[in-house]
Amino acid sequence: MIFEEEVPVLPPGVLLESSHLLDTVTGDRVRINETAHLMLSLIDGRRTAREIGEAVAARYGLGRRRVISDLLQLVDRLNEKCLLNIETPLGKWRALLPKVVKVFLVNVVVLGQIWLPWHRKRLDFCNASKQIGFLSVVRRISPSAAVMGWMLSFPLWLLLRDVSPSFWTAVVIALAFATSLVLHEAAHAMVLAPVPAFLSLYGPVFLVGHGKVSPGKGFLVSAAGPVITGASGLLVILISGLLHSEHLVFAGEILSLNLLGMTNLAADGRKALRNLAIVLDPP
Amino acid sequence: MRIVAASFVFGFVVVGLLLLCFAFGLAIIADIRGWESFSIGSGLLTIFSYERTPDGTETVIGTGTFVLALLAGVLNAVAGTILWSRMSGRR
Repeated sequence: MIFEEEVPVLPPGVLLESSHLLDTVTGDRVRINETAHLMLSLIDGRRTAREIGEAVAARYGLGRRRVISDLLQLVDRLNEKCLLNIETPLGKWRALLPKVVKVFLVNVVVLGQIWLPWHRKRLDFCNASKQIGFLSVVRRISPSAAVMGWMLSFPLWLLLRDVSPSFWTAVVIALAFATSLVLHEAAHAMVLAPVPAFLSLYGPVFLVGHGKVSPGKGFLVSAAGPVITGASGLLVILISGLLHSEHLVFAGEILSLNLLGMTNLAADGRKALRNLAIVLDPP
Repeated sequence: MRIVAASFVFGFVVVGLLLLCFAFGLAIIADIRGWESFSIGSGLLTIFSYERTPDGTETVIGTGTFVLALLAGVLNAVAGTILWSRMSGRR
Protein backbone atom coordinates (compact mmCIF):
# COMPACT_ATOMS: atom_id res chain seq x y z
CA MET A 1 0.00 0.00 0.00
CA ILE A 2 1.23 3.46 -0.95
CA PHE A 3 0.52 6.57 1.12
CA GLU A 4 -0.03 10.13 -0.10
CA GLU A 5 3.05 11.37 1.74
CA GLU A 6 5.38 9.05 -0.17
CA VAL A 7 7.42 10.10 -3.17
CA PRO A 8 7.27 8.07 -6.41
CA VAL A 9 10.57 7.94 -8.31
CA LEU A 10 11.24 6.60 -11.81
CA PRO A 11 14.29 4.26 -11.72
CA PRO A 12 17.08 5.11 -14.20
CA GLY A 13 16.32 2.02 -16.33
CA VAL A 14 12.70 3.03 -16.92
CA LEU A 15 11.79 5.59 -19.58
CA LEU A 16 8.51 7.45 -19.86
CA GLU A 17 7.46 7.61 -23.52
CA SER A 18 4.35 9.17 -25.02
CA SER A 19 2.06 6.14 -24.79
CA HIS A 20 3.99 3.68 -22.66
CA LEU A 21 6.63 3.06 -20.01
CA LEU A 22 9.70 1.32 -21.38
CA ASP A 23 11.85 -0.95 -19.23
CA THR A 24 15.23 -0.59 -20.95
CA VAL A 25 16.61 -3.65 -19.12
CA THR A 26 13.92 -6.25 -19.90
CA GLY A 27 12.53 -4.53 -23.00
CA ASP A 28 9.00 -4.67 -21.52
CA ARG A 29 6.54 -1.95 -22.49
CA VAL A 30 3.52 -1.01 -20.39
CA ARG A 31 0.80 0.99 -22.17
CA ILE A 32 -0.46 4.05 -20.32
CA ASN A 33 -3.27 6.50 -21.05
CA GLU A 34 -3.03 10.27 -21.28
CA THR A 35 -3.89 10.90 -17.61
CA ALA A 36 -1.38 8.31 -16.41
CA HIS A 37 1.23 9.92 -18.69
CA LEU A 38 0.54 13.31 -17.13
CA MET A 39 0.76 11.83 -13.62
CA LEU A 40 4.06 10.07 -14.39
CA SER A 41 5.52 13.11 -16.16
CA LEU A 42 5.12 15.10 -12.92
CA ILE A 43 7.35 12.65 -11.05
CA ASP A 44 10.59 14.44 -10.27
CA GLY A 45 11.83 12.60 -7.19
CA ARG A 46 10.72 15.44 -4.87
CA ARG A 47 6.93 15.75 -5.29
CA THR A 48 4.83 13.52 -3.06
CA ALA A 49 1.95 11.47 -4.48
CA ARG A 50 -0.47 14.00 -2.95
CA GLU A 51 1.21 16.96 -4.69
CA ILE A 52 1.19 15.15 -8.04
CA GLY A 53 -2.47 14.18 -7.59
CA GLU A 54 -3.43 17.75 -6.68
CA ALA A 55 -1.62 19.12 -9.76
CA VAL A 56 -3.43 16.66 -12.06
CA ALA A 57 -6.80 17.34 -10.39
CA ALA A 58 -6.31 21.09 -10.91
CA ARG A 59 -5.37 20.56 -14.57
CA TYR A 60 -8.45 18.47 -15.38
CA GLY A 61 -10.84 20.09 -12.88
CA LEU A 62 -11.49 16.75 -11.16
CA GLY A 63 -12.06 15.85 -7.52
CA ARG A 64 -8.76 15.87 -5.62
CA ARG A 65 -9.47 12.72 -3.59
CA ARG A 66 -10.44 10.65 -6.63
CA VAL A 67 -7.34 11.62 -8.61
CA ILE A 68 -5.02 10.90 -5.67
CA SER A 69 -6.69 7.52 -5.18
CA ASP A 70 -6.23 6.68 -8.90
CA LEU A 71 -2.61 7.81 -8.73
CA LEU A 72 -1.91 5.65 -5.68
CA GLN A 73 -3.36 2.61 -7.47
CA LEU A 74 -1.23 3.32 -10.55
CA VAL A 75 1.92 3.78 -8.45
CA ASP A 76 1.16 0.57 -6.54
CA ARG A 77 0.75 -1.45 -9.75
CA LEU A 78 3.90 -0.02 -11.37
CA ASN A 79 5.87 -0.66 -8.17
CA GLU A 80 4.80 -4.32 -8.29
CA LYS A 81 6.22 -4.52 -11.83
CA CYS A 82 9.50 -2.92 -10.68
CA LEU A 83 8.84 0.11 -12.92
CA LEU A 84 8.56 2.68 -10.14
CA ASN A 85 10.30 3.14 -6.81
CA ILE A 86 8.71 4.72 -3.77
CA GLU A 87 10.75 6.80 -1.37
CA THR A 88 9.72 7.96 2.07
CA PRO A 89 11.57 11.16 3.06
CA LEU A 90 12.70 11.17 6.70
CA GLY A 91 10.64 14.30 7.44
CA LYS A 92 7.43 12.55 6.37
CA TRP A 93 7.71 9.66 8.81
CA ARG A 94 6.00 11.57 11.63
CA ALA A 95 2.85 11.99 9.55
CA LEU A 96 3.13 8.51 8.05
CA LEU A 97 3.70 6.40 11.14
CA PRO A 98 0.15 6.65 12.60
CA LYS A 99 -1.26 5.69 9.18
CA VAL A 100 1.07 2.69 8.90
CA VAL A 101 0.10 1.54 12.40
CA LYS A 102 -3.62 1.98 11.59
CA VAL A 103 -3.35 -0.01 8.34
CA PHE A 104 -1.38 -2.71 10.15
CA LEU A 105 -4.00 -2.99 12.92
CA VAL A 106 -6.92 -3.08 10.47
CA ASN A 107 -5.37 -5.52 7.98
CA VAL A 108 -3.37 -7.85 10.19
CA VAL A 109 -5.09 -7.76 13.58
CA VAL A 110 -8.74 -7.20 12.60
CA LEU A 111 -9.01 -8.77 9.12
CA GLY A 112 -6.25 -11.35 9.60
CA GLN A 113 -4.70 -10.54 6.20
CA ILE A 114 -1.04 -10.59 5.35
CA TRP A 115 0.23 -7.03 5.00
CA LEU A 116 3.88 -6.25 4.46
CA PRO A 117 5.04 -2.74 5.38
CA TRP A 118 7.57 -2.37 2.56
CA HIS A 119 7.66 -1.59 -1.14
CA ARG A 120 9.54 -3.18 -3.98
CA LYS A 121 12.74 -1.29 -4.70
CA ARG A 122 14.48 -1.46 -8.03
CA LEU A 123 18.23 -0.85 -8.10
CA ASP A 124 19.71 -0.56 -11.57
CA PHE A 125 23.35 -1.58 -11.82
CA CYS A 126 26.03 -1.88 -14.48
CA ASN A 127 26.49 -5.46 -15.68
CA ALA A 128 28.90 -4.84 -18.55
CA SER A 129 31.32 -7.59 -17.50
CA LYS A 130 31.48 -10.39 -14.92
CA GLN A 131 33.75 -8.41 -12.62
CA ILE A 132 31.81 -5.15 -12.92
CA GLY A 133 28.49 -6.95 -12.42
CA PHE A 134 29.75 -8.78 -9.33
CA LEU A 135 31.21 -5.65 -7.74
CA SER A 136 28.16 -3.51 -8.62
CA VAL A 137 25.82 -5.93 -6.87
CA VAL A 138 28.11 -6.10 -3.83
CA ARG A 139 28.15 -2.30 -3.64
CA ARG A 140 24.40 -1.88 -4.18
CA ILE A 141 23.03 -4.43 -1.73
CA SER A 142 25.67 -4.69 1.00
CA PRO A 143 24.00 -2.10 3.32
CA SER A 144 20.54 -3.75 3.03
CA ALA A 145 22.10 -7.20 3.41
CA ALA A 146 23.96 -6.08 6.55
CA VAL A 147 20.70 -4.85 8.13
CA MET A 148 18.95 -8.08 7.12
CA GLY A 149 21.83 -10.13 8.50
CA TRP A 150 21.52 -8.49 11.93
CA MET A 151 17.75 -8.93 11.96
CA LEU A 152 18.11 -12.64 11.25
CA SER A 153 21.09 -13.21 13.51
CA PHE A 154 19.52 -12.16 16.82
CA PRO A 155 16.67 -14.71 16.89
CA LEU A 156 19.06 -17.44 15.75
CA TRP A 157 21.65 -16.46 18.35
CA LEU A 158 18.97 -16.62 21.06
CA LEU A 159 18.17 -20.17 19.90
CA LEU A 160 21.85 -21.16 19.89
CA ARG A 161 22.74 -19.40 23.15
CA ASP A 162 23.07 -22.68 25.05
CA VAL A 163 25.57 -24.00 22.49
CA SER A 164 27.52 -20.81 21.91
CA PRO A 165 26.72 -17.92 24.27
CA SER A 166 29.50 -15.64 22.97
CA PHE A 167 28.33 -12.38 21.37
CA TRP A 168 30.83 -13.07 18.58
CA THR A 169 28.52 -15.88 17.47
CA ALA A 170 25.80 -13.28 16.80
CA VAL A 171 28.31 -11.13 14.89
CA VAL A 172 29.50 -14.08 12.78
CA ILE A 173 25.95 -15.23 12.06
CA ALA A 174 24.96 -11.69 10.96
CA LEU A 175 28.02 -11.47 8.71
CA ALA A 176 27.33 -14.92 7.27
CA PHE A 177 23.71 -14.04 6.46
CA ALA A 178 24.76 -10.75 4.86
CA THR A 179 27.54 -12.45 2.85
CA SER A 180 25.13 -15.19 1.82
CA LEU A 181 22.59 -12.67 0.47
CA VAL A 182 25.20 -10.59 -1.35
CA LEU A 183 27.23 -13.48 -2.76
CA HIS A 184 24.07 -15.25 -3.98
CA GLU A 185 22.84 -12.27 -6.04
CA ALA A 186 26.35 -11.27 -7.15
CA ALA A 187 26.89 -14.79 -8.49
CA HIS A 188 23.65 -14.56 -10.51
CA ALA A 189 24.75 -11.19 -11.94
CA MET A 190 28.27 -12.42 -12.68
CA VAL A 191 27.05 -15.35 -14.78
CA LEU A 192 24.40 -13.18 -16.44
CA ALA A 193 26.96 -10.55 -17.62
CA PRO A 194 27.05 -8.81 -20.09
CA VAL A 195 23.23 -8.99 -20.21
CA PRO A 196 21.73 -5.85 -18.58
CA ALA A 197 20.04 -6.51 -15.24
CA PHE A 198 18.57 -4.84 -12.18
CA LEU A 199 18.12 -5.81 -8.56
CA SER A 200 14.72 -5.98 -6.99
CA LEU A 201 14.55 -5.68 -3.21
CA TYR A 202 11.29 -6.65 -1.52
CA GLY A 203 11.87 -6.68 2.23
CA PRO A 204 14.17 -9.65 2.87
CA VAL A 205 13.80 -10.97 -0.70
CA PHE A 206 16.50 -9.99 -3.21
CA LEU A 207 16.07 -10.83 -6.90
CA VAL A 208 17.99 -10.18 -10.10
CA GLY A 209 15.70 -9.09 -12.95
CA HIS A 210 16.79 -9.34 -16.57
CA GLY A 211 15.54 -9.69 -20.14
CA LYS A 212 15.25 -12.91 -22.10
CA VAL A 213 18.31 -15.18 -22.26
CA SER A 214 18.82 -18.59 -23.87
CA PRO A 215 17.60 -21.59 -21.80
CA GLY A 216 21.20 -22.80 -21.37
CA LYS A 217 22.30 -19.46 -19.99
CA GLY A 218 19.09 -19.25 -17.95
CA PHE A 219 19.98 -22.55 -16.30
CA LEU A 220 23.50 -21.37 -15.48
CA VAL A 221 22.24 -18.03 -14.12
CA SER A 222 19.66 -19.73 -11.87
CA ALA A 223 22.14 -22.32 -10.62
CA ALA A 224 25.02 -19.88 -10.06
CA GLY A 225 23.55 -18.22 -6.93
CA PRO A 226 22.86 -21.34 -4.87
CA VAL A 227 25.85 -23.35 -6.15
CA ILE A 228 28.58 -20.71 -5.78
CA THR A 229 27.34 -19.56 -2.36
CA GLY A 230 26.75 -23.14 -1.18
CA ALA A 231 30.20 -24.24 -2.38
CA SER A 232 31.80 -21.33 -0.53
CA GLY A 233 29.99 -22.57 2.58
CA LEU A 234 31.50 -26.04 2.15
CA LEU A 235 34.93 -24.43 1.88
CA VAL A 236 34.36 -22.39 5.06
CA ILE A 237 33.36 -25.54 6.95
CA LEU A 238 36.54 -27.31 5.79
CA ILE A 239 38.60 -24.30 6.91
CA SER A 240 36.77 -24.28 10.27
CA GLY A 241 38.00 -27.86 10.77
CA LEU A 242 41.58 -26.81 10.10
CA LEU A 243 41.35 -23.72 12.33
CA HIS A 244 39.22 -25.45 14.96
CA SER A 245 36.79 -22.50 15.02
CA GLU A 246 33.15 -23.00 15.96
CA HIS A 247 32.26 -19.51 14.71
CA LEU A 248 33.37 -20.47 11.24
CA VAL A 249 31.24 -23.63 11.51
CA PHE A 250 28.12 -21.48 11.97
CA ALA A 251 29.13 -19.22 9.07
CA GLY A 252 29.82 -22.21 6.82
CA GLU A 253 26.51 -23.88 7.68
CA ILE A 254 24.56 -20.70 6.86
CA LEU A 255 26.35 -20.28 3.52
CA SER A 256 25.99 -23.95 2.60
CA LEU A 257 22.21 -23.81 3.20
CA ASN A 258 22.10 -21.91 -0.10
CA LEU A 259 22.46 -25.27 -1.81
CA LEU A 260 18.78 -25.86 -1.00
CA GLY A 261 18.17 -23.27 -3.71
CA MET A 262 18.86 -26.02 -6.25
CA THR A 263 15.85 -28.06 -5.14
CA ASN A 264 12.30 -27.51 -6.32
CA LEU A 265 11.51 -25.87 -2.98
CA ALA A 266 13.18 -22.68 -4.16
CA ALA A 267 12.40 -20.35 -7.07
CA ASP A 268 15.99 -20.66 -8.35
CA GLY A 269 15.73 -24.45 -8.41
CA ARG A 270 12.40 -24.41 -10.26
CA LYS A 271 13.75 -21.89 -12.78
CA ALA A 272 16.89 -23.97 -13.29
CA LEU A 273 14.79 -27.10 -13.86
CA ARG A 274 12.45 -25.31 -16.30
CA ASN A 275 15.44 -24.10 -18.34
CA LEU A 276 17.08 -27.52 -18.19
CA ALA A 277 13.84 -29.08 -19.46
CA ILE A 278 13.90 -26.76 -22.48
CA VAL A 279 17.57 -27.52 -23.12
CA LEU A 280 17.02 -31.29 -22.93
CA ASP A 281 13.73 -31.30 -24.80
CA PRO A 282 13.49 -28.23 -27.07
CA PRO A 283 9.91 -27.31 -28.10
CA MET B 1 12.23 -38.87 -17.81
CA ARG B 2 15.50 -36.94 -17.92
CA ILE B 3 13.90 -34.12 -15.95
CA VAL B 4 12.77 -36.54 -13.25
CA ALA B 5 16.31 -37.97 -13.11
CA ALA B 6 17.82 -34.46 -12.94
CA SER B 7 15.41 -33.51 -10.13
CA PHE B 8 16.33 -36.66 -8.24
CA VAL B 9 20.06 -35.96 -8.60
CA PHE B 10 19.66 -32.32 -7.48
CA GLY B 11 17.67 -33.34 -4.39
CA PHE B 12 19.97 -36.24 -3.53
CA VAL B 13 23.24 -34.33 -3.95
CA VAL B 14 22.04 -31.15 -2.18
CA VAL B 15 20.61 -32.90 0.89
CA GLY B 16 23.51 -35.38 0.99
CA LEU B 17 26.05 -32.53 0.96
CA LEU B 18 24.11 -30.55 3.57
CA LEU B 19 23.94 -33.54 5.90
CA LEU B 20 27.68 -34.12 5.48
CA CYS B 21 28.31 -30.44 6.26
CA PHE B 22 26.04 -30.63 9.29
CA ALA B 23 27.83 -33.76 10.55
CA PHE B 24 31.28 -32.27 9.99
CA GLY B 25 30.30 -29.02 11.72
CA LEU B 26 28.74 -30.87 14.64
CA ALA B 27 31.88 -32.97 15.06
CA ILE B 28 34.03 -29.82 15.17
CA ILE B 29 31.77 -28.18 17.79
CA ALA B 30 31.65 -31.41 19.85
CA ASP B 31 35.46 -31.54 19.78
CA ILE B 32 35.88 -27.91 20.80
CA ARG B 33 33.27 -28.11 23.57
CA GLY B 34 34.44 -31.53 24.79
CA TRP B 35 31.00 -33.15 24.48
CA GLU B 36 30.47 -36.75 25.58
CA SER B 37 29.44 -39.54 23.15
CA PHE B 38 26.08 -39.09 21.39
CA SER B 39 24.34 -40.10 18.22
CA ILE B 40 21.51 -38.91 16.00
CA GLY B 41 19.26 -41.74 14.76
CA SER B 42 19.76 -45.39 15.58
CA GLY B 43 20.56 -48.71 13.91
CA LEU B 44 20.47 -48.57 10.12
CA LEU B 45 19.03 -45.06 10.32
CA THR B 46 21.95 -43.58 12.23
CA ILE B 47 22.71 -40.21 10.68
CA PHE B 48 25.60 -39.20 12.89
CA SER B 49 27.44 -40.74 15.79
CA TYR B 50 30.12 -39.10 17.91
CA GLU B 51 32.12 -41.18 20.32
CA ARG B 52 34.67 -40.06 22.88
CA THR B 53 37.19 -42.83 23.53
CA PRO B 54 40.26 -42.89 25.81
CA ASP B 55 42.44 -42.50 22.68
CA GLY B 56 40.53 -39.58 21.19
CA THR B 57 37.24 -39.12 19.34
CA GLU B 58 35.48 -40.99 16.57
CA THR B 59 32.83 -39.60 14.23
CA VAL B 60 30.67 -41.87 12.09
CA ILE B 61 28.38 -40.64 9.33
CA GLY B 62 25.79 -43.41 9.21
CA THR B 63 23.62 -44.93 6.51
CA GLY B 64 20.78 -42.69 7.73
CA THR B 65 22.48 -39.86 5.84
CA PHE B 66 22.25 -41.86 2.61
CA VAL B 67 18.61 -42.82 3.32
CA LEU B 68 17.62 -39.19 4.03
CA ALA B 69 19.39 -37.97 0.89
CA LEU B 70 17.62 -40.69 -1.11
CA LEU B 71 14.28 -39.61 0.34
CA ALA B 72 15.01 -35.98 -0.52
CA GLY B 73 15.92 -37.05 -4.07
CA VAL B 74 12.63 -38.91 -4.44
CA LEU B 75 10.60 -35.98 -3.07
CA ASN B 76 12.42 -33.57 -5.37
CA ALA B 77 11.80 -35.90 -8.32
CA VAL B 78 8.06 -35.97 -7.49
CA ALA B 79 8.02 -32.16 -7.30
CA GLY B 80 9.97 -32.02 -10.58
CA THR B 81 7.45 -34.35 -12.25
CA ILE B 82 4.54 -32.13 -11.17
CA LEU B 83 6.37 -29.03 -12.37
CA TRP B 84 7.25 -30.71 -15.66
CA SER B 85 3.68 -31.91 -16.32
CA ARG B 86 2.32 -28.40 -15.64
CA MET B 87 4.93 -26.92 -17.94
CA SER B 88 4.21 -29.45 -20.72
CA GLY B 89 0.50 -28.64 -20.38
CA ARG B 90 1.23 -24.96 -20.91
CA ARG B 91 3.52 -25.60 -23.92
